[in-house]
Amino acid sequence: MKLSRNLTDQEILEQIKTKTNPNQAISQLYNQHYGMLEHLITTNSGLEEDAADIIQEVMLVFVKMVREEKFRGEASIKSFLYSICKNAWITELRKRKSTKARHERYEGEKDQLDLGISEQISRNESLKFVMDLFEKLGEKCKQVLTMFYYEELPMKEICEKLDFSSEQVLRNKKYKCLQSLTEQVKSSESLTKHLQKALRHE
Amino acid sequence: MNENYSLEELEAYLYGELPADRAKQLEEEIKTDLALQSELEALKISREAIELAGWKTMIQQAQAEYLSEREEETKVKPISGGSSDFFVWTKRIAASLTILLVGLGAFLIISVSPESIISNQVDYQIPVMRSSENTLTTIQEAYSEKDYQGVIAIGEQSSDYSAEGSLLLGLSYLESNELEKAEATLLNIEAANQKNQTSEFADQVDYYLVKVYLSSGQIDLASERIHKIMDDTQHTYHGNFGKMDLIKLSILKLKN
Repeated sequence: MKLSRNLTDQEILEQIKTKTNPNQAISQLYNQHYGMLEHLITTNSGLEEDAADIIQEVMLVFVKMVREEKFRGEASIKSFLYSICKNAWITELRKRKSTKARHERYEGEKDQLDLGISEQISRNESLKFVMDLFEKLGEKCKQVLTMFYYEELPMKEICEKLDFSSEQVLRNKKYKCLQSLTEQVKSSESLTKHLQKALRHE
Repeated sequence: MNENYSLEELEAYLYGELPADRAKQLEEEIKTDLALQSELEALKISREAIELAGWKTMIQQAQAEYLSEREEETKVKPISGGSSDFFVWTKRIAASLTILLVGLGAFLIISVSPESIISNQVDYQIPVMRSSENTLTTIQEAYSEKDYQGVIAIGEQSSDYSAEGSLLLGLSYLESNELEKAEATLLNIEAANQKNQTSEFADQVDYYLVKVYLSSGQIDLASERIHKIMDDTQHTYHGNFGKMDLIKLSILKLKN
């Protein structure tokens, strides 16, 4: 039984931007738009599994653009998600097709891609590499960094939650964890290549 | 790792919290120091990735919950389309029949009246003889012409107490809505038959008494006569009543 009213577009944007009960906003996006986005993919050579992967990526791109104020509700969320999904799916199809087929089939579609969305999709591709590196850090490191950068909790609260003896110990831990990640990023050949490819808009 | 700037300083720069002079110095160095550029870019993308990983976890959970709920819904639907559909349809049919029966019952209660049982009653026809000498008596002639008042006038003045004469008189009373006289006259025929151990016009008496009783609201007496007619397969009017008439009788009893 539904007990609360639906959020408006502006309320969804606000909750994501300020990280105030973002779960509610994301859940509503799924309930309201998943079917439409899935239909877009499955009626354009995609499978339901493709749709599930792409829609997750769409949501990440959407969140990133809202957080960075690249989308402030100029259009409806529905049409914006649709645009991201279309761009993401075309990008995915391009990856799957041979260069020849790509030029034959998608040359005409190039103009249809929204540049801002395409850039964000590309940026998220790079971020995926770093996220994979992040996932390989130790559990404690992930907890510390997530609480600090995602949950934005104060040091004191993180200290209590993760049972650190002092804030200084926590600060040192966070420094080491972040340094470990940035060192891996700098030394990652695949990331460098990916960033170079992204710059060439391949 | 850059030796001139700590990770905290670089982070403070990204947050815009580095002191202005130190920030200006850093910006100058970035222009020429590729390693510093790389360091800063790695820090920036790492911070972004950490935050995005948090969002990704939450989005994955939301998607898993949504798809799980959707799957549950699609699992439930075929079940409801199968066996429970049978029950749903059975209930619907039962409900429809109930409504139909209630409607029919209501219709019967409203519409059933004594007239509804006797509206199609057969009029008594005077038998026509093939004999060339066939002549109608005055009372027969009056009845044939549906001159019921004429029949009554003749009958009341006549000393003819034949069964047929009494029957025509009784039927004329009935047609003139003189129900008590009609009942008495018809019962006289029955009494005479019992007395003489005959059965002249006995079936007609039963049949037309039904109309007399129904018209005068004596439902029980009418019911007795109808049952008598229906129980006797040899009765002239055996086929003139059916189960529907019995139902109507029951309704009339309820209404009374």
